[in-house]
Amino acid sequence: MTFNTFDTLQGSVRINLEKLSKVVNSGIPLTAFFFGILGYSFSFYFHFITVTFIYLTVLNFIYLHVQKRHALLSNYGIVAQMRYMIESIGPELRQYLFSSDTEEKPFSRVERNEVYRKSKGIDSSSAFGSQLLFNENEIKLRHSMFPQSKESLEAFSLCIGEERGLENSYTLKHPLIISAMSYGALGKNAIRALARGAKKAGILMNTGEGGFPKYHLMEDCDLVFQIGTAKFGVRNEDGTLSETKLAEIASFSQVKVIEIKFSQGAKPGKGGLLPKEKITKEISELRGVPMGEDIVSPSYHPECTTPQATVQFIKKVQDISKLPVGIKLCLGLEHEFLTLIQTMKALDIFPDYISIDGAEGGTGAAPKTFMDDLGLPIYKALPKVQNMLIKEGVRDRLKLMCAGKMINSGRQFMALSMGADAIYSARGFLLAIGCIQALQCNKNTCPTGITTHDNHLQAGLDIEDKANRVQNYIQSLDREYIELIAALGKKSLHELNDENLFLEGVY
Amino acid sequence: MPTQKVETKVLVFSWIFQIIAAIILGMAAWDKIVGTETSHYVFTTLEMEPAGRIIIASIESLAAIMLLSTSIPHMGAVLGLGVMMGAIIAHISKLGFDVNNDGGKMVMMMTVVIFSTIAIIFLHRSRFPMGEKDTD
Repeated sequence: MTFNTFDTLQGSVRINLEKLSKVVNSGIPLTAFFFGILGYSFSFYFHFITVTFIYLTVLNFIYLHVQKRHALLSNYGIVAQMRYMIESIGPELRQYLFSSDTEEKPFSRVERNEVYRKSKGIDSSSAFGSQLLFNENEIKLRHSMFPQSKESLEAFSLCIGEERGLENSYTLKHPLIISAMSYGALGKNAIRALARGAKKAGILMNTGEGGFPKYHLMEDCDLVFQIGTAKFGVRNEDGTLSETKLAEIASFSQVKVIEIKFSQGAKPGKGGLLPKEKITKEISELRGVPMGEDIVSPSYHPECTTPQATVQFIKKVQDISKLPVGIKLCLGLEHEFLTLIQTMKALDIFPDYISIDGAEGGTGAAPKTFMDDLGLPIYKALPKVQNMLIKEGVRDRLKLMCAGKMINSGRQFMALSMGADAIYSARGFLLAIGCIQALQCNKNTCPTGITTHDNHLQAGLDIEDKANRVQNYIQSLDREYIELIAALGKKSLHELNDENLFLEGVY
Repeated sequence: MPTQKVETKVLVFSWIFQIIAAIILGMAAWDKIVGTETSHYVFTTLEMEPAGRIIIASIESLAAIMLLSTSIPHMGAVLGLGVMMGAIIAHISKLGFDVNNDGGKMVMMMTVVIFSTIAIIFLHRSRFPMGEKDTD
């Protein structure tokens, strides 16, 4: 073996963070001392650096020897702050640089971009091929060999309340409805942008369970007033329904439909949640709750403890409001839902629609387990509900709606094919008005000013501009609907049925 | 940055120190800006005349303004204490404690500011980042 003089120089260079921290920890006071000498010997200006390093020495001493909460800071000192600093911008870095276009949750960049392009009214064609995985779980729409001509298509029209022969029935002109988002969950600018957009696009909007819908009413769009389990806005002191307040709200000309919320896909079996960070003086007044603590709605309506009581409660709301009344729930125990339907049949009282919320639905704030692990996803729940309704022979007594990540026309058509009559979407519209999926809805720090009450953050949300985005989103979807209906060989959205679906082993 | 609410009682207590420190720092800055005889003497001794005098005066005024704010008094205290550390170094190394025969007045003022700023930093300690990360 020949001896190489440079063998010792061939080792690889690695960063040993532990050694680095030791060097830094002893280096900081030494640097302070070094600049102290420079300042003494040459120029007093060096003492600017001396003072800075004295501070760092003190800070590092606190990290190493005083504070007890963070083991990393105790063991490594100021270098460990690098970890916290970099970690704190991890979500941004992942979204900007490191996550693939199909990877982010709940909506991938591919899905979001689709909405962004629609809301800006620009071309949404993509190149080369689908970014999605094609596997055995994939659900697809089946097209027809003989597409319809676009001229022969019929316009969408759905009358809510016609089954009861209601005088104040409401006719939907568009299958998409802005889903329940309260003032509280969203800031006032976002609410007004959505409401103005709904007015421009001629679609229906749900107020959410946020009490008196002050900002929703401002833009004069058609509204669904939602009664949550806490009954904000229509509440007696003891949490039961206030008949006078409900009648008062129902008398607003903008309020076209009433919806009773039993459960929500993102947190089924649990009431609404508004974190204390987001409770302003105005919200505490509109909802009649104290400031400074989280608003946790009860998990059920005090009136609705049995199927009979539930159906009677629906009847009561119908009688007081004289408007179409729907219910919203996330499917859990099927036999309970079946019993509810059978009770409706026995008592001959039906809500005007049932809205099924999929477990993948969104929320401003919910416990993680409830978001992740409870409730049935929409494509599992919807066929079951449809089948139950048909089996009980009551499908023609009410309308069926659904919600759960219904942001693009593909998913919406799948739901319509499974039996839904109309679609609820919330996050689709949030994306349309500029949501960047920063996932801070529960912190009052939404960088786009949508789910915050911070005036500084809301200032960037221009109501008129974002209202136009909502309108563009709807118009772009409309164009896509026409293409899709024609491609599926149907004449209208009402004709869609499960023959249009493909799912291995199911359809 | 993680900031926690400071109790009202503590805030009132802190304001006393904030005002004391801000007044002394403000007066010191004013003396340097108009160029009183003492300040000329000090900065000539430190060989920082006139640039250093103006720089220190600017930092002192900034610290005084920050001390009188509601949002960042703790940062003002850090800045003020920093200037005072420089002052300690100056007195120990170059100036001595009886500057221009003032009978230790300057050093006394310095001690008051040091005490006040340390008190402010201590009272507002929960507003400094200690490595808490945003947990969700």
